[in-house]
Amino acid sequence: MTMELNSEKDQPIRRRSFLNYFLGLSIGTFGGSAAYAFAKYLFPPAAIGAESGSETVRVMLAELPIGGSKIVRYKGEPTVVIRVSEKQVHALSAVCTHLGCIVKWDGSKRLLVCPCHAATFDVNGNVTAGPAPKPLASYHTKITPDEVIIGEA
Amino acid sequence: MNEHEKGKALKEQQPSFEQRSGLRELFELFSLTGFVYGPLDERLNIKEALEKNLKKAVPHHVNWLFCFGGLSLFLFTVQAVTGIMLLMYYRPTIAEAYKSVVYVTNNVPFGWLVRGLHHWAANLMIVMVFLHMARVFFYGAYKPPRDFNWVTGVILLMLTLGFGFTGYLLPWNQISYWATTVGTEAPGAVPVVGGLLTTLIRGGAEVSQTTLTRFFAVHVVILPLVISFFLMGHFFMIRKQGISGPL
Ligand code: HEM
Ligand code: HEM
Ligand code: FES
Repeated sequence: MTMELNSEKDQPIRRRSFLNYFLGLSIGTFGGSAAYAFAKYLFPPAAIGAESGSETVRVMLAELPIGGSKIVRYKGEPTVVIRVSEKQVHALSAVCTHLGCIVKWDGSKRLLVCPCHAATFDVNGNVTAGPAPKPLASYHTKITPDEVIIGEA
Repeated sequence: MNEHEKGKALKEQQPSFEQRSGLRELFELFSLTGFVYGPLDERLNIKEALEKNLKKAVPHHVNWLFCFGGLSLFLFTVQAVTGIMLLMYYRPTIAEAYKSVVYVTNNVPFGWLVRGLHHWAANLMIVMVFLHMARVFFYGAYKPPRDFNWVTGVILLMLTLGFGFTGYLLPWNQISYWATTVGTEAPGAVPVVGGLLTTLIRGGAEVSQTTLTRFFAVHVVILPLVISFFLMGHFFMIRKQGISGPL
C-alpha cells in the first residue's frame, strides 16, 4: 500500500482525479445533450415561425438517389421527398391522413406505405388502399442542377 | 500515522493537478460547490452529511440483483421528468387529446423522443418493480422486521400499475378507449357495489370526457403525490433497518 501511494505521487495526474474528470465529462456530455433536446422541445415550430408557410426547404440532389426518398421538415410538418426519376421529384406531407403516423416510401412497390394500419398512397398522394380518408397534401417542387427546392413552383 | 493520514499529508505537500490548473476554482464557481461547501457548510454541516451517505460501505453479500429497487426509482424519475414535459403540450379533452399527442410526436422537436421515453420507461418500470419484488421474495427480505416494507412495497406496486392504467387512456385512441372500457368493467364483478364502482371510476355510465378528466387528474396529480409519500416511507425504513443479510 505504501509503495502504491509513493508511485502515485510521482504522476502528474492521479487515477482518482482522472476518473473524476472522466465522470464529470460523461455527465456533462449527457446532461448537455439532454438540455439541448429539452430547450428545443420547449420551442414548438409555431413559436419560431416555421409554420407561416412562406419559406422553402432545399434538399441536395446528391442526398436523393433516383428511386430514393428523404424525410424533411416543411412548414413544421414531416414531409417526404421522393425522386422518381432524374428530373422528377415529388414532395408530400408524410403525415398519414388516417391517424397521423409517418408514412414511408416503398421503392419496390412505388407506393407510400403507412406502418400503422397499412394505408397506401401513390406518388401524387392519392389513397390506393387502406383506411386513410383523404389524400396526402402535395407540394410544389423545383429542380435546379444540384438541389430540389420544396415550396417553389 | 495510519494510511488515511499519510494520504492526507501527501495531498498537502504536493499540489494536485486540479489545484494547479485552477480548474477546480472554475468548477466551484459555476457549480456553486464553493458556496455549498463554504458558507452553507459552516452553518449546516453539509459535507459531513454527504460523506456519511456517499461513503457508506456496501456489505459484501450485496450483488447486482439489489439494483432493481434503485432502477425502479430511476425509471420513476424518468417518468416524472418526461411526464412533466408532455404536460407542456398535452390537452385532456376528447376532442383535442389525440391531436395534441400527434402534434407532440410529429411536430414538436424531440417530441417523439420525450413521448417514446415516457412510453418505454413506463413499461420497463413495471418489469423492474416485479424483478425487485422477486429479488426481495427470494432473499426472504420480506421477513420481520422488514414486513412493513413489503406492505409499502405492495402499495407501490399498485400505484405503479395505477399510473400505467390511467396513463394508457390519455392519448384517447381506439386502443386506449377500449382498454379502459374493459378495465373499468372488471370492478363491476364485485358483489353488490360493483356497478357503483364502475360508475365511480368512469364518472358516468360510459367511458367519456369525465373519465378522461378523472384519469388525467389521477395520473398527473393524485398518483404522483401519493406515490411520493409511500416512496419516502419505503426509503426511510430501508435506511433505518439497513439492507437484509446474505442468503
Ligand atoms: C415503485 C416501486 C419501488 C421502488 C422505487 C422500490 C425501491 C426500493 C429500493 C431502492 C430498495 C433498496 C434495496 C433494493 O434495491 O433491492 C428497496 C428495498 C425493499 N423493497 Fe422496494 N421498491 C419498490 C417496490 C417494492 C415492491 C413491489 C415490494 C414488494 C412487494 C418491495 C419491497 C421491498 C423490501 C421488503 C425491501 C427491503 C429489502 C432488503 O432489505 O433487502 N418494494 N425498495
Ligand atoms: C409510474 C409512473 C408512470 C407511468 C407507469 C406512466 C404511464 C403512462 C402511459 C402508459 C401513458 C400513455 C402513453 C402513450 O400511449 O403515449 C402515459 C401518458 C402520459 N403521462 Fe404518464 N406515467 C407515469 C408517470 C407520469 C407522471 C409523473 C406524469 C406527470 C406529472 C405523467 C404525465 C403523462 C401525460 C401528460 C401523458 C399523456 C401524453 C401521452 O399519451 O403521450 N406520467 N403515462
Ligand atoms: S395512421 Fe396511417 S393507416 Fe392508420
